[in-house]
Amino acid sequence: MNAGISTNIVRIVVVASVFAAAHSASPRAQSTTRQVELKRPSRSEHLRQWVEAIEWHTAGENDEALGVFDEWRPDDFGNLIIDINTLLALISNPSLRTFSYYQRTVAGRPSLKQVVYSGSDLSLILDIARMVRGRGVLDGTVITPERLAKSRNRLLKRGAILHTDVAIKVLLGNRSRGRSVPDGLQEFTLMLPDGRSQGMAVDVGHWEFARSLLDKVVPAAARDEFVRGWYNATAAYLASLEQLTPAHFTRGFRLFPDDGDLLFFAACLHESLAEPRIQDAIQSASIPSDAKFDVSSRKGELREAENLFRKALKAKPDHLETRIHLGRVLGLRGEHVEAEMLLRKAVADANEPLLQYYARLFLGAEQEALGDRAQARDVYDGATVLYPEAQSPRLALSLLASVEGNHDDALAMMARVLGLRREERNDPWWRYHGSQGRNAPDALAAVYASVSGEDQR
Amino acid sequence: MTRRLAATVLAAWLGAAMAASPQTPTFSSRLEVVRVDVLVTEDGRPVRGLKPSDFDIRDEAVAQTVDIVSFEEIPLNVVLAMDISDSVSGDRLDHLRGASRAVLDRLTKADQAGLVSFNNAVEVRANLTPDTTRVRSALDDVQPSGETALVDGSYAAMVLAQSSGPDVRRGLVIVFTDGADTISWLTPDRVLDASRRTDAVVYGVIVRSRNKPSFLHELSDRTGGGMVEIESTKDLANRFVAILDEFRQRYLVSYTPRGVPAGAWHRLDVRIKGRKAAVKARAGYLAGT
Repeated sequence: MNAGISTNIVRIVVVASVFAAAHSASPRAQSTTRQVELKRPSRSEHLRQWVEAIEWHTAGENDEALGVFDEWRPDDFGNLIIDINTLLALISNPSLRTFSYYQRTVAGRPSLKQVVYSGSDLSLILDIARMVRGRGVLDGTVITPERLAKSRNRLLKRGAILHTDVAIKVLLGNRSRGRSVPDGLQEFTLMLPDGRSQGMAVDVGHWEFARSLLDKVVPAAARDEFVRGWYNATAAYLASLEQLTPAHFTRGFRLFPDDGDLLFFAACLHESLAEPRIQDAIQSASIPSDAKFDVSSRKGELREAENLFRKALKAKPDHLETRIHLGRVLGLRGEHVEAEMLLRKAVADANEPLLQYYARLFLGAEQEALGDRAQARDVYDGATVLYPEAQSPRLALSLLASVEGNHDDALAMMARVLGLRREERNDPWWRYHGSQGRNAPDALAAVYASVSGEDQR
Repeated sequence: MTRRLAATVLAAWLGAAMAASPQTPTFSSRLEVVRVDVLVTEDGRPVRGLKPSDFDIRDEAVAQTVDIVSFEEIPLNVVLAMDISDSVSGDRLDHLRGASRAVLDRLTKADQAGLVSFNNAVEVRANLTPDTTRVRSALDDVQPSGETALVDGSYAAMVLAQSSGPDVRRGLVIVFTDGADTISWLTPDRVLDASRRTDAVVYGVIVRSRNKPSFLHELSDRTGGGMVEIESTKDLANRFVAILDEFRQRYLVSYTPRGVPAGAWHRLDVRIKGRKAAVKARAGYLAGT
């Protein structure tokens, strides 16, 4: 599947709280579970379809397996969550016959509920469990706990990839999200093209499905490098499309609270949420009462961004991009002296033209704030050399000339670029929010290769 | 409109302006002149026929002697700054083109027009020119896409409108947008600060939305212009023309500052003696560099 970077529509995503908190079934899913038992004994068929799709799907490809959920009804997803738990239990112990799951009560407390399967459902789920247990094992061979763990993890990781790719397909295709989604399994997305709210979309939370599956990796998801790699690659990918998903990091930090990359991406998310265009759009949006977008004030978001960038820098002191972003955020918070110091060092250290450009742009702004126009002019000049078709440093230079009363220079500075047509322009500033995800295709490819490679080992 | 100029630069204009002035000011080569663009209305209608002695101008609360008042004689630099982001398409774009053409239709041969568009990119599509066919042609090329660099675009238009070369002109910028800024590099504060040094007058026209266009409000306020909020673009041509008509009804008042400190922000207070007229002028000017 082409997971390349397309034109962005900023989206803020929130996952329904029931799904995020319980990783289990919602109250409606539970009540309909009994209905399904009487009227639709095919829940095990859905589980089989899901497992088959996992097997058929080639990681990263937009293949037929991604269409597995197209005809599913809302309740089928609720049942699937319960039945995956049953399947995992049976993979570990095929003799189990009683199954339960936790469901949140109205008061928010977890309550243990029994699942009652029909004979045919249980029989099919058992068959699937045996198939998963016996995969790659010769008949009659004793299946070791290590082998079992490997089979279980393979299913979970490949399952997570399937849901990831479905989620990416939805995102890239901007697919209609009008269908009904069961309570507790929704992902609400606020679309914010060009700084205005374009309404709310609701879809099945496939990202959350993937996260929930990875939580079940044994012996511990928090010690699994695939899971860590998945979180970082998908964080980069979501960032590249300006898909602002706080839940991704809330969940990721439960497993990897000190991961430098994850901290960096989370900090970037809060830096973006602080932008006036996002803040204004959220304030003007009509948001249904059951969707709560956890976005703080500009001040609060900048404070959180600074906090996370500092943690990220502690985890990865040499990460140049973190220093650049932290410098910008400090400047926005009025900490110009520290910002200038950080950014000056970043300009000295940056080899990648893009990062050099950002560092110079932000350093210039800080030097202006500190009243050092001559230095600011020098660093902006350097930025124009790196990207001659970029308008931002030219406008900055023009404005410097203007405030010094030199109108002719102000006009000449901007004329060098503003006469170019848009197609001839290349200003990395336009891509700053999202630039941290520029290596996402490579990172995702590594995750795909990792899951495919496990099959060959 | 406010501007400080060396008297030598003013020489060419003075020759024409003095004929209309009852006074004959004299300038030493060191003296500087402040010009203020002033709209005077009573009951919403422009007041015409005012003389220098009718104006009460206070520079830092110090009463000044008005040297020259001109009305309609000074040619214009009109810059149209158009938001061409994604949301400005279909009828809205047609109305915007039509409104821009209506303004061009009403310019005199002495006036100049320019066109700046902005989405992510700010483009000077037509530099200031008396040849309005070039601006019309540039209007036809506009295709909407992308985000809204309102602050960058407004700044560029302001600088362009101010460029007058050796002849003195009055700069009018009409900024049209249907949304808030989403992508500018320049910050509102820096551009508002720069606006203190320009003599261009900015009028904002915005399609009403839930987002408050505070930057454009402030910019038009600081430059002595105005803000028009509309529900629909259907009547945009009339709105644009009304702005141009109003701008032509303004006085250009000149005085040589006396008894006020140099090298800082000068607060201006402009009133009309003996009348309860409404006066619109910029709040002040920056002296020195």
